[in-house]
Amino acid sequence: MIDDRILVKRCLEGEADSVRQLVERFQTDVLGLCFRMLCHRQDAEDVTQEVFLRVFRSLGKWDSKRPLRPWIMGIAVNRCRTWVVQRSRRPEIVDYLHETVADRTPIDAGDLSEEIAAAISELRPEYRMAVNLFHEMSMPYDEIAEVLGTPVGTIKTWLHRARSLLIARLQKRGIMTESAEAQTKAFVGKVQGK
Amino acid sequence: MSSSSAHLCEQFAEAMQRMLDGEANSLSEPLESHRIECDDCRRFAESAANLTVALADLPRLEADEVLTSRIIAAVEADRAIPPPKRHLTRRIVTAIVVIAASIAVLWFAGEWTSVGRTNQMVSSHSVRPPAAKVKSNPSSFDMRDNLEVVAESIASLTRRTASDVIGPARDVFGLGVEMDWLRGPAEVRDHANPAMDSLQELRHGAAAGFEPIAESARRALAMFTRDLPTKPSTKP
Repeated sequence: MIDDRILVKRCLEGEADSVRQLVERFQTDVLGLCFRMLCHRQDAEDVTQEVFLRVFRSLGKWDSKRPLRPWIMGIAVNRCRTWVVQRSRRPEIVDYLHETVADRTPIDAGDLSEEIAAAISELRPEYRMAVNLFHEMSMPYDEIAEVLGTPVGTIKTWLHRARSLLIARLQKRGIMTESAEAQTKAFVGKVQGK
Repeated sequence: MSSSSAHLCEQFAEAMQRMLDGEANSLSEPLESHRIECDDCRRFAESAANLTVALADLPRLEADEVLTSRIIAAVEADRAIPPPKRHLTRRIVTAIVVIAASIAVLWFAGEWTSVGRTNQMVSSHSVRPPAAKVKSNPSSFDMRDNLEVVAESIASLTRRTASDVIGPARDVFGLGVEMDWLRGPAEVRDHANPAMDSLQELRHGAAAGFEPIAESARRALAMFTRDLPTKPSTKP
């Protein structure tokens, strides 16, 4: 695989193949993050397109001493935030965003992925991003911190809280066994009550 | 539950988070013993570990070829558009308008200050100021008249510069009016369409060129109005 720096250089020289390669290299990550943030595929695709437009417009400003992926993901995060703000100003389309997990009937454990995805969609945006970047994209802490413009310690805190919330919500939805739920609740109570 | 047990549970939770974060590979011996002894911690650890595995295995939304093509087409179209040209003329005209507006505001502010000073002199020395400079009755001091003069000056400047810049183009190409000189048989008009497109771009460019001028004038007026004192100083 061509090094990111070489790829960028070729893109800046106008090589069409390199443009395609760069898009293909990062589009799934960008789309995944956008989808986690926006909870809507069409919106996620629209924002992904916007992200790449901005990436190519600013490619000349990228500092080649730093990794490319966090830079691109940082642009994606900013575009998602902007999109969320813009979307909140358009009340007519809010309805389609996502149904709440609480509205659904209990499901089988076989639908765990779907249920976890729904639980993630109910997390705070910063938790959602941290979970997506760390667990789904396996991005290291320092890169996540760079993407989100937040200290590493804060990222860890977000992740810890996000995991605890996910476990609690999944238990509430009956995803975990009763005994596990009771035990976990007892565990959390024990730690919190100390 | 003893406090030492709760303390161990807390330590265990922190250690588990470090393991789930990939910062540690194993638990310390006391915590490992605790995991075996404490059902709560063991089951919580299992739940957390299961969640972590499930998170990593979440089906990813894959970008398909349609999206790839769409992105590339958008990028290519975007690259084909030249970066916005900031014509020197437009910059100069904008600068002139801003400077003119600033001078007008400063001039008026100076007049205002001199009126205030003169009023103070009138009160402290009982000397009648010249009628042409300050009205004898302070209550007749009407800010709106002065404001309108400044506003009209700026508007006039705006119109004049816009007319100077855009007027000749309008005269030559018939911008903003029907292009009578291109009327003719349909086949001629069809052939003229590409040329018309260029003129449309010119029209939009001229309109866009005017916008900064108008914006500068509006901004200057807004700042001027904002900075106006609400009441003339009549203190001795």
